Amino acid sequence: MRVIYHSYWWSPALLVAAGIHLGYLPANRKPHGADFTRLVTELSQRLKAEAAGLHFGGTDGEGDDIYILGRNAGAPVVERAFHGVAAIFGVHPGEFLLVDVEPYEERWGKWGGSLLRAAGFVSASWWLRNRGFSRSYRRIARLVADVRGRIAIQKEGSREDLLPLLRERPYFGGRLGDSRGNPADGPPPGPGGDQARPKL
Amino acid sequence: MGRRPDPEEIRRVPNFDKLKNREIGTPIYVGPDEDGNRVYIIGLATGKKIMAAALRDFLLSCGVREGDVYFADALPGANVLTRIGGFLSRQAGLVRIGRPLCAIGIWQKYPQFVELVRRVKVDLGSRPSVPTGPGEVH
Repeated sequence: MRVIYHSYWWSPALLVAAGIHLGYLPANRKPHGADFTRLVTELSQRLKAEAAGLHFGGTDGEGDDIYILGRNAGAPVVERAFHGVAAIFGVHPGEFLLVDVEPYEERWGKWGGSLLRAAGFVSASWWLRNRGFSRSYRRIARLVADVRGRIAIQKEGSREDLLPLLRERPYFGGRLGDSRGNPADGPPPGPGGDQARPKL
Repeated sequence: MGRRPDPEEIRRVPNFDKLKNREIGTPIYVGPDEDGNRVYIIGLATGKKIMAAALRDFLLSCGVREGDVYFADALPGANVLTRIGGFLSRQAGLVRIGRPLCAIGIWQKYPQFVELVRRVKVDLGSRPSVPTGPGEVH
């Protein structure tokens, strides 16, 4: 399975989602201050230095390949384009999952941080961005947990014990590749740390 | 490719200025060329360079061979008239004004489109392996 996290341009939230999925960042708590800032900055710079396109982040513990895409087209265009070319070349829709991270971002951190940085106030930019992530980190962690759960469902097929979950949470019942989930705050992931899985 | 069609003829091309916003991103099959390559069109809005690179990377990661896919950017051939016509027709809904403008703009730049197609065909012809996969995305 290929998981493609995408968001508008190289959003830090995109890097955080991939970082959580790959275990670089904890899923059950927000990393603190300087460490978090340094990690996201380094990751961001490394990615920007590379050519535009799909960036391979790594392979998670389940053997799924994690990609990130900083797009400047709308999410629906990305969905249609990937599914369209996949159909042309006979790539089964079950082989990849597109996950839009943009709805899970905190607006103040996203826009405020970008504006301040563009104006040259780098420290203030990171302060605002960190403040934004305090609010959105758990949502992004929850998204990653949902994605893992969804992949597990896809791999397991129609297990009976998963059916109540499908009924309770329409997000899981969507078409694979239709990554528009519910960005509402959910409970924080369990104590399983980086490998936390949704409660199935 | 040997002659220049008039704007009215351009307007009669299937799908010309008829795609809706919700179809942007969806590849549309146009037909095979004389070498058997399958030709598609795809609108990628503002992110065409990034998206084309991402789609190519994605296909390669799925095992599609490098020689089986070719992306050609057709937008540099569009002039201001085409862009204004396209905006009026697709965004503002003024089809009667926008579509003819769009066709005239294409007509003005027609030699550039011919050149683009020539270049693509030369590129395809110079490739080491003849494409045998399911499609060429142009």
